[in-house]
Amino acid sequence: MTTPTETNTEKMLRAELARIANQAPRSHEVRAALVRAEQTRRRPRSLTLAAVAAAVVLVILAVPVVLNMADEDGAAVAAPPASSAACCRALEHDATWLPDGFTERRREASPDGDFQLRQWVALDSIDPVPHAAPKIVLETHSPDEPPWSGMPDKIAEAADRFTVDGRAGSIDIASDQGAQLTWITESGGIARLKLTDVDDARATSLRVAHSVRPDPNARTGSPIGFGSLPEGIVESKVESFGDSPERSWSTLTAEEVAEPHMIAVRVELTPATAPRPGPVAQPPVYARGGYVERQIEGLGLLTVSALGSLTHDQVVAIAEGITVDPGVDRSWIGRP
Amino acid sequence: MTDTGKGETPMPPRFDDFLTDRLDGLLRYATALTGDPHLAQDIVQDVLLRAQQRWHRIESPPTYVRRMVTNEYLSWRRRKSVRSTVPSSLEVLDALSPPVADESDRYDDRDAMRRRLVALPRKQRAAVVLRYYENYSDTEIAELLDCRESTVRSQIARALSTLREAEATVTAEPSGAQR
Repeated sequence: MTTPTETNTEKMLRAELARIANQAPRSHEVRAALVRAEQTRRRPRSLTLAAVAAAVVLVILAVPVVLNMADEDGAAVAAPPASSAACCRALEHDATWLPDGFTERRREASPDGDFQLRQWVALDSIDPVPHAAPKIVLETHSPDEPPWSGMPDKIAEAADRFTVDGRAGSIDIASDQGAQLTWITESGGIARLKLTDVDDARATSLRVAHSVRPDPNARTGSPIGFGSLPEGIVESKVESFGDSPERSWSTLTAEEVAEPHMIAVRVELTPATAPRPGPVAQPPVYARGGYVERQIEGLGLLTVSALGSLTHDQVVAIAEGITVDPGVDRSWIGRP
Repeated sequence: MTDTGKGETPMPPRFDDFLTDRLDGLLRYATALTGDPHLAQDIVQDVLLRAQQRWHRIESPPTYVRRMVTNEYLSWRRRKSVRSTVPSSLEVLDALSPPVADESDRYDDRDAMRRRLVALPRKQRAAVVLRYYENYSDTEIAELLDCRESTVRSQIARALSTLREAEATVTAEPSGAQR
């Protein structure tokens, strides 16, 4: 909401705060902690909720399916088989219509596929400072976990509703520049669409929602994956994002199996930039201030941060065990 | 569509509904406030755990929770000392990097702005986040920070003075292709 009288400093400040806010963590971990707290207080419910919490960390291997997709030149190429590997988790839905100017910038998925996210961003060619870059986010959630399990009832009770191919949805928020829609997908999952700083948001969000179709080809596209993890730690999420295949990031997160499921390890692959001070290549793994870093030839710098009680040796072992596949398809980053 | 917590949508009657509607916005606000996604998560989680226990007694949850998050940030002293493996907020944000495209010649300007933002005294930073991220008025900021409006104006003026050195000209960038 830049005003005409604002100085350039104020405009830059708005832009920077928006960028920082964009780095906000996902809400799953907070939700999980709150569910656990509620569980502790309400003993009769504890068994049910514990079962739900345990289900979150189960890794369900998807059946590999080889599918075709078109490459940049339109030639048919084999899509990587969907699996629970960080490179190849399926993003099962796609928005087949978006307003002009949007390109895909982010994909996320949990190992079991219960949570998937795709994000498209458009840069404003008029505003010199893209502090309010319009964003469209499509999430899908398993209907088996709270709060999403309660979403069908909530949709049915909503005052502002719509339908997608006969399936019910709710318009949760709709203003000039923002909208949030929730509906039930053809496979029974819960889809949520969020538009931020998009003109005519209500009508646009409805059009995007109606264009959402199953996508058999999209994959997370992370070039890194966990190798073996210490006992009691499991992967929780992979993220790939950037503005081009050459300028892209990947992160892996693992959490403790034991309650309260604290994040144990975060791995970040940042694109190659200027050389960092200190020993880098020999040996390829070194520790500094609790971090373990590893240069990945042609891809960038891998940083492994232990947020829990892991020992230095365990963190080094995790860093050494990270699998790397530079050939993973990241051509979707920055594409319409 | 920043979640301002000022009643854009009807207040959810249940805690779960509040989380569904507001949690993402709260985490974004806390991240803008702290400059550190990890710390933001800690603060929001702590605040909601406490709010959850007395939810039925909270009159206006969006306002109440936002005030608690802000107060928690202003008084935060402990968590980072035990997180020896978590870098400073600036390093965290640099490492995560923004997912939007920018021309390379903007980085210096942005970097300077971010460094000065991180270095602001907490109350000044809270005031500028409420003004320039949440679009609060002086009156609303004064109420939330429990101070006079004149103090709010003074805090923001001092913060802007500190940040002014980061001012630079940036250029437009073309939008992407049609899908």
